[in-house]
Amino acid sequence: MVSTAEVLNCTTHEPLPVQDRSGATHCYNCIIESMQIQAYNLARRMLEDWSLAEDAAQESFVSGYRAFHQFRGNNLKAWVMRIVANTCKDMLRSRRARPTVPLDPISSDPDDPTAPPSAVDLPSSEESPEAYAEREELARIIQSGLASLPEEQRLAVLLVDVQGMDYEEAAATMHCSLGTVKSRLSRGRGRMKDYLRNTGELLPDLFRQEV
Amino acid sequence: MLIFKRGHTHINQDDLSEYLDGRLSGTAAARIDLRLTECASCRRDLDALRSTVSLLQQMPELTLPRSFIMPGPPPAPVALRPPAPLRMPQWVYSGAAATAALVFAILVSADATGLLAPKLTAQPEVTAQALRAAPESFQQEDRDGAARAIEMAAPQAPVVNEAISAEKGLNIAVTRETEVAEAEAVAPTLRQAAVPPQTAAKVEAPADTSASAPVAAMAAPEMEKAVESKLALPPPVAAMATTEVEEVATSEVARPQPEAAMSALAVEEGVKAKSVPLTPEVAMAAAKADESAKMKADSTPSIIALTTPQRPPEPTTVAQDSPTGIPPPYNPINIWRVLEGLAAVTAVGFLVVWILRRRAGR
Repeated sequence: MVSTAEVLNCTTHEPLPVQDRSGATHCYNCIIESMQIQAYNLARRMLEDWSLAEDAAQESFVSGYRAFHQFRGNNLKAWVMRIVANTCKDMLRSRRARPTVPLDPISSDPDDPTAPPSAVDLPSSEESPEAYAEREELARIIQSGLASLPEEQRLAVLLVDVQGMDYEEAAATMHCSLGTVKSRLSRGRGRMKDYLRNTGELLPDLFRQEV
Repeated sequence: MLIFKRGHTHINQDDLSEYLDGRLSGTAAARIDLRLTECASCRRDLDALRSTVSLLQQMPELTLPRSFIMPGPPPAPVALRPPAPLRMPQWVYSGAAATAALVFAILVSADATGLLAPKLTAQPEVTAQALRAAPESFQQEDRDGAARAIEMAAPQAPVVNEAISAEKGLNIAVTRETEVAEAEAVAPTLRQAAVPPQTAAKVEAPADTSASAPVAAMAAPEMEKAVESKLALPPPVAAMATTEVEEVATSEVARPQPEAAMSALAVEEGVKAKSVPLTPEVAMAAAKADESAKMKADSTPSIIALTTPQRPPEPTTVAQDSPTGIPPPYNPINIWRVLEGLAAVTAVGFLVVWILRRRAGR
């Protein structure tokens, strides 16, 4: 949040003054600058077909600009993230109504429970390309695990575990009670745990290390 | 895997999740700690959960494909969605379609069972209503005319009957009212029909009612035939025919006999002029003729009924026919037809909108 004077002194971008409900002036581009990475990441994790994430983030910022006069001036992050989450939900809903073939191939994931352990499974790979490949593989598995969660549980997990919000902030973002956040989060985590346990070749290893 | 220790229940998922986040109060956390020490399964659960959460937390932050900084205020939203009244929930449209269809079905079935058909007993009321709608002066004038007509009609009952029998020819002309040429073709028969009154009058020249009775009895079947043929016609056409004939009858009765032929020619002219659409004046004339017809129906049978027992059905048929003299907009049955049509159109309309909305929503 910046003062009017700072709005006029924006150097990295065009100043885009907006007024919140109390009449205080903000530079909307400053808000975008501070929020866009989180917004884009949330959108990309929420939408299974993450090619839409860019559109979702863009649309969220535009609708945020138009609705900014409703912003009460507290917890900007929760306010912006709520818009992003709602935009993503709308997109998911409209895509459910008009199913399309996803652009990203997730072909190797669904048959993982029956698939034999792959070469990535081999321990002690200190070479960076292999480690990178593992990280990529892990990230892909986690992403498809998230995609298997119900929408609200996925949002709770993303906000608390991935975005690092506390329960209160997540409740404000999801516009629900603290208890709801807790139950959605624990169920989402539980499902993720089961998914990773059943799916990932790397995970038993990690689990053992943790233990 | 499970530890069957008496009194031990595994820590539920919500508590475990909260414990992991360090959000449990001191006593609750201590209870979880205690359970974890005595239950390996719970420990494994917690470890698995912790690993999962740490994997989620370690997810790499994705880099932006581009900056979302806006070069300027975004343009005003384009109204891609239809305006609010057209964006009701889908059940509104389906419900409205169903309701309209139900109304349509009820109206049609009520109509089919004859519930909406005007009853015979109700018809004098309808006629009376239509007459009340006419201006007072008009009615008064008409009553005077009708009274005079009755006075004249008493000795000239045969002439009246003959004139009504001319109705048949006139009806044919009226059914083809849009074709003036054909109406003219029928005109000769009208002229022929107009001759008998003269001849009948010459032969009879009635002085009292008893003398005219046989002729009236002879004319009765013809008259009934005429009335029947009139009934067979579509109501509006029959209505027009009635008014026309009534006018002829009145004028012929009111005038001396030699003028009857001339008035028949006037009818011919009237037939030519029939292609003129129904105007308020015509509607008034219809009401007027109706009144006089009713008066006649009341008077002439009373004369004839003295001698001819087969006459009594006649007044009822005339009475049944007279409401058709009301112009179509006042006819109650047409209102029901219009309502049926409206209900059907509404049902189909809402059905179409509902289907379109469903397709758009998909």
